Amino acid sequence: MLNLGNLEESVLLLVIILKENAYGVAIAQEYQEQTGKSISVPAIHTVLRRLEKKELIKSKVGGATKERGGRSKRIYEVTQAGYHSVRAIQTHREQLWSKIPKLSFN
Amino acid sequence: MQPPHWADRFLTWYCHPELLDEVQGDLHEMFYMRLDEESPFKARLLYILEVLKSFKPSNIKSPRQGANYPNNHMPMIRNFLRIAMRNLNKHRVYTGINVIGLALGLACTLLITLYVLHERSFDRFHSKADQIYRVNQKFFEGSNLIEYSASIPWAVGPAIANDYPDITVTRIYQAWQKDPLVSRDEQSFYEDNLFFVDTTFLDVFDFKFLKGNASTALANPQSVVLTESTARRYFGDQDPVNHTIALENALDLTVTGVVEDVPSNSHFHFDLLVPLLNIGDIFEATGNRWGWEGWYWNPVHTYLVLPERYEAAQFEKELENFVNKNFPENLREGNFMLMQSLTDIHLNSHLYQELEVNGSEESITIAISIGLFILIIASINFVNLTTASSIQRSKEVVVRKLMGSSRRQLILQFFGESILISLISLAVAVALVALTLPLFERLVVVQLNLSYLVTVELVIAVVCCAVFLGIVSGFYPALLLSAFNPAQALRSVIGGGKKSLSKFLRKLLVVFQFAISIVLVIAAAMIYKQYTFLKAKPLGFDKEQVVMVPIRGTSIVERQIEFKQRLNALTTVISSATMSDILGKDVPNRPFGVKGYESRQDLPGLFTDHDFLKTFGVKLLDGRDFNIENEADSRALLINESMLEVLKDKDWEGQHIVWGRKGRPVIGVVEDFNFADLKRPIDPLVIGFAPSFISYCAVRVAPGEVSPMLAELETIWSQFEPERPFIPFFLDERLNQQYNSEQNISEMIGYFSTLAIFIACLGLSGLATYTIHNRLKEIGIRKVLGASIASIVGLVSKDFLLLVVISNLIAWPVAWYLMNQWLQDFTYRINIRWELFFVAGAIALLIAMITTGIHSLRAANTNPVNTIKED
Repeated sequence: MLNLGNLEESVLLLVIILKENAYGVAIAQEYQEQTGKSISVPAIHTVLRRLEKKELIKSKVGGATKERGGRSKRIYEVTQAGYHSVRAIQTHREQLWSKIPKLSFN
Repeated sequence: MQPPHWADRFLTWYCHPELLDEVQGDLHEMFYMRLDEESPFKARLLYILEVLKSFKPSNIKSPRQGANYPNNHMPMIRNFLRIAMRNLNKHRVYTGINVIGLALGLACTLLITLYVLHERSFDRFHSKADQIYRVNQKFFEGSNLIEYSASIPWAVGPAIANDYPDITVTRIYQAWQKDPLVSRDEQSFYEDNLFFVDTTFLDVFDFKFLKGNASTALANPQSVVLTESTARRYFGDQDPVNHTIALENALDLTVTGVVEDVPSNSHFHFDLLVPLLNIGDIFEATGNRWGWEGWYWNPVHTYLVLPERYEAAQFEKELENFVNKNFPENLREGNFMLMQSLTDIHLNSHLYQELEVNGSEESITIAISIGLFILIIASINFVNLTTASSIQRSKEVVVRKLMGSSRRQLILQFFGESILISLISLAVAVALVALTLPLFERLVVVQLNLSYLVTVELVIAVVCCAVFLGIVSGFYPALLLSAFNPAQALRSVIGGGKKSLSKFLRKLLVVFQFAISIVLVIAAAMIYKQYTFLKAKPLGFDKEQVVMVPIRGTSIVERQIEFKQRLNALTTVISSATMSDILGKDVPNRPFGVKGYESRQDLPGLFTDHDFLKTFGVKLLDGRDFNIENEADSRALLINESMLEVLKDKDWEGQHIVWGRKGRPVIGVVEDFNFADLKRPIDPLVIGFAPSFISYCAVRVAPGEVSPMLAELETIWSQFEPERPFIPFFLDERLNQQYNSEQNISEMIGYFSTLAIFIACLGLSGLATYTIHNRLKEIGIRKVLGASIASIVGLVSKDFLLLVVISNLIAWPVAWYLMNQWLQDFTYRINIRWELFFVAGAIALLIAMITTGIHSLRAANTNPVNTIKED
């Protein structure tokens, strides 16, 4: 299994969630919404480059808007490997959780 | 409201084109989004921040990552290299001249660098070099400096060791005024480099032991340590350890060790080391009359290792107390002990009683400036030649440009070519250095030990220097050529009237080159003349046909009269005189009591006998010569003219001068003669009798009888001293040797100035080709209109000769100023004569004329049809 960082995992999940709208700014906003922590667009870009290099996501050139000054977006999409790797993490975690006994902290 | 423009441009500049849309688009989107919520200032600030944050490797464009088109750099560079090699090959003569010029320049500079490094590396091979100091002595009488000596009294060293137990002290004593005789079986040698040293010598200095043990080698009083080559001299291939050699045929010394020969960059070179422990026995054996524990006589070189807690200057202060505490009361006044760093000795110490003749900072400065000058001349040349040859390639440049080559690539290409040439030249230069090194070593009279001079740093530095030179030299052609306008270039009117600045620059460079060369030629000639003048200058006595026989320490000193009688009986001998010093080299100061002065005056005092004036042809001005018949004359004195000034009332008659404890009458005055070397004026001199001071016997030989006389002399010698080798020398030869080092410098400048002129001519030739190439059409038209070949040659050469004339006008005052400065150091000096300047200038002009003449003649002879058919 590929080593995925925490942020990488979150961004990868966000890419899956956002589907057709998965590009830099949208991912950054969604991240903030979901986690309550703010993150800069350049930071998101870095993570995306890393994920793309690991071939967990792929990208294509998307549409342009007026705010972007006519510059096209780059839309990210999860690859099969990407999907499997987050899935695997989740499965792994669930397995672990299933073994955790009920605890009380009193 | 828009994001800051400059930040945007920065982003566009660095960002990978493929990612630009995404990054810039996203950032803009964020910016406009923020504009709705926040202040414009904050939005802009955040935008800038994000642009900076995006400046990271994953976003930055790199040549490797490639743009949308395939990477094409390697084939291009390969093409550059191929074109460069083809070009060099095609213009073989040009390449040859260029490489030769640059290689010569580099070789000179390399040799000089090695020399300078060698001179600067002196004594640094000792592991404690930074902590070792020599103690010097300064002796004042009132405010007059009487003596500033590298050697100090015997007792100082041990007293320092006693007062400051953490300081290691060692002393060197080199037998004074007399070379000890060392023998083994049948062979014996005078060992002028036998050092008597304290047992601590090897704790202070590092010398590598090949045989024996450094810590015990000098422990035994009767031991001796030999250098490798000395050991071979006495023992051949045999192991010398535990064998004995005899000192003065009286004292047996056991060899306890063999060390490597002293490196050439040491300020002293011993052949044998003998412990100072038995110096009493040694004095006994060598018949030295002075004590060896005193505070007055100062023949001992003393070195100490200063522990880190002391600063040298601070310890010097300490030594003032030391003088007051230890020296006898009458020697404390005006007596100073000074510290000199070991590594400073070779270049900056020229004191009385140095162990060897030291180098000088001056000769290093001269060497460095010559090296720099030649390097400058060579690189100017390189620029001129490269420029000249590159104009012929304008078409290639233009075609490249039309094919889409950028200016940067063109510049890169020309830089590459000039770097290639400079690296080839460097290789040739290294070969030249290897070939000429022995010659150069003879010229500067040093032995360069390459194994410690050539370091990795030096190699890197030299290669970097060559590359740098290539870049500097390629700079101008690269910029000039890459700036060509294709349309103009194809019509081949490059370098026409418009580029007057660059033309001027090139002319300036040629003027500069020639000026430097002319200055060097004048300097070499003047220095040579000055030393020939010194050698030929009448000294006031006859130095020719005089054979000097060293007799100090032999039984002949006691039997002088008998020895001289035997000599004078020979028909080949005109006369002979015994004497204390070598006349014309140096006569040391000795304390004389002169009336009218409270204390003793240190004045040069020569001791000889009644045949002195006759033997040396010194003229008597007043009074009378010593008379052998008159017994009282052995206590009389002669003085020279200058001494008259010192005497009371400037009158000699009836005056007495005190030597020893007795006043001695002055019986005559002799004409001034140069008893010391010619760098000094003639000082007052006292001439007297003192048989125990006698060191030499000077023999005047009848003309043409030198070799029979030497044979007879040797026979007589062996009757007196059968055990000792007979080693006479000729006075004039010995005196001429005094100026050898200076003459070597002039020879060196001479060689280098020839080279400089040669290289400058290569440069001129390059410039001539360039200019003539540009004027070919003009020349063609002139010919068509009926100009003669001679007039064309004149027309073309005129400009260049003008340049050389201007160089002369610049060089003369500079050379005059420099040489005038240099000559100020001499008491006896030549006048600066203008003929010399004219001759140097004329030579430069002539050579320049020949160089340009060849080129212009070729241009004048071309068929006009070939040159004006284009356009």
